[in-house]
This record gives sequence, structure tokens and C-alpha cells, in this order.
Amino acid sequence: MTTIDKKGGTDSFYIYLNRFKTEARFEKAKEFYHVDVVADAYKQGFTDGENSGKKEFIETMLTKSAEKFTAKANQVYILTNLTISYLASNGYNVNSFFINLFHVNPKVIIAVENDSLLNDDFIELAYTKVFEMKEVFSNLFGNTLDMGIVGNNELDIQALAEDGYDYSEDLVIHE
Amino acid sequence: MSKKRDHGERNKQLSDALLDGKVYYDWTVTVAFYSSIYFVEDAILPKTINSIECKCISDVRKAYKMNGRHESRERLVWEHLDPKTAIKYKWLDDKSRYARYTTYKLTAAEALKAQEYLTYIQKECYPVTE
Repeated sequence: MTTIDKKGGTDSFYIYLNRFKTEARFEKAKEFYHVDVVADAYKQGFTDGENSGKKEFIETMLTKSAEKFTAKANQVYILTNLTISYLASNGYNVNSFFINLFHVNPKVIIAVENDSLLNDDFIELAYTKVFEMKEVFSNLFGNTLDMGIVGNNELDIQALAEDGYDYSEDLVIHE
Repeated sequence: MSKKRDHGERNKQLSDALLDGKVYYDWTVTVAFYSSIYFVEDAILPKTINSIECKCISDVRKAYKMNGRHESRERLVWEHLDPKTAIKYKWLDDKSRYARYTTYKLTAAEALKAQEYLTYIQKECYPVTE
């Protein structure tokens, strides 16, 4: 049976997400505000009677935005882990992964041994799965999930962080 | 020969030369990707997508209601070429886009793989008819 040891994991991801639950942090994620969320909040805010006003409108919008952001973030994490588990179950190691949630299209980079990216069998298997996961995300949210694969050799973690890939996990897979 | 095909073949020749030079393997891969862009666009476009006549990648981006040309082209290739070709295109795309995060010291094997995939894409885009 294949098991995956992670430096991180689900708890770590939720702790990471909780860091963005303040209004100020969500400003960074404003690209996630979907027009439907704003429209729903606006409609609700101005049909609930005299007590509803700007404050309620904003609070509703922020709450719905936060919910939508969290739903997207969770799905990015789940689809990433499904891909990694699928590769592991087919005998291929993943070294780490990097997630950038703060882009209109969330981004995931999966790092593997460089030799894997010279192996036609791995390439076909892995990228078929990547396209499948991208389609799932697109069907759910109407946005693109930008998921790709990179060689692990001399990976520049600093450059990844500078480009917004500020959540990552290192993985050790045991057969 | 179309302008795009001509441009793609010129880039492919540069990629070949860089491979032969055995120094700039990273650029061999990047130029191979930029060659493939011309081939796939030339092979697929014009195309009607969501009732919009798409003659260039900007039209495709609008038809898909997507934000970037890169993602629009990736989807275009996935939807209109066979999966094996789309996967090779995506491999070249990832190698090129993620070069910023990796060492420039690519191996000859990686450059050769890029050439192999580019040649595959070119043949799929321009099949020889008997």
C-alpha cells in the first residue's frame, strides 16, 4: 500500500487559509469576487427592509466572498492531492507542490524528479490527470485552474514565493 | 506556406541550431515552445468557438471568456487537437513557463525531448497526405 508523508497536510492548509479571513487580507483576493456574489448581496441588502443598509450589504458580500474563496481554495487543495495520490498509486513520486490562491485563476505547480519529465509514460499519465482536474475545476467555478508540473532539481523556492506560490508541502512517499 | 507556419519553422531551425551548439539547452526548449505556438494556431485557426469566428488567439480568448492568451491557447489545443499532441504541447508550455523557477542548466536529454515533442506536434499539425 502506498502512503504519503507530508510536511503540512490538511490541518496546515486550513491554518494557512484562516490567515486570510480578515477583511484586509481578502482585499488581496478581490479577484475572486464573482458578479453573482455581489448581485446576491446587493439584492439581499436592499430588500430586507429599513434596517438593511450599507453595513449589512458589505458584511453579506464579504461573508459570501469569503465562502466562495474558501470553497475554491479547498477545491484547489483537494484536486492537487487527488493528482498526487493518483501518481503515487501508479508508482510515481511527487516531491512537493506549490499553490497560489491569489490569482483570478488559482495556480498549482507539482514538483517531480527531473527524470520523470523525460519518461513518456509518466508524462502521458500525469498530464492526462492534470487536464482532468482542470476540467473539474472549470465546471465547478467557471475559472481556469492553472496546474502544471516542474522538475524538482534546483527549484527556486524564493522565486515561487515572489510569484504568489506561498503555500507548499513537501512529500515523502512510501511503497 | 502560411506566415505562421513559416515563423514556426524558423523558430524550429533556431531551436535545432541551439541544440547543435550544446550550450543553451534552456533556450532550445523555450524556442521549441514558441515554435509550437505558431504550428498549433496555424493548424486550428480560424475556428468558430461559441458562435464567434476566431481568427487569432485574441478572438479565442474572448470566445472562451478567459483572461489570458496562454490559458486560451492551452484550452484551444486540448479541445481541437488529439490528447497526445495536447499533452506534448502542455509539457513544452510548462517547461518554458516554469524556467523562471528552475536552473538554466538543462540537460541535453531535456532539450532532445523538447525537440522530439516539437517534431511530433509539427507532424500532427501538418500531416503528409499520400
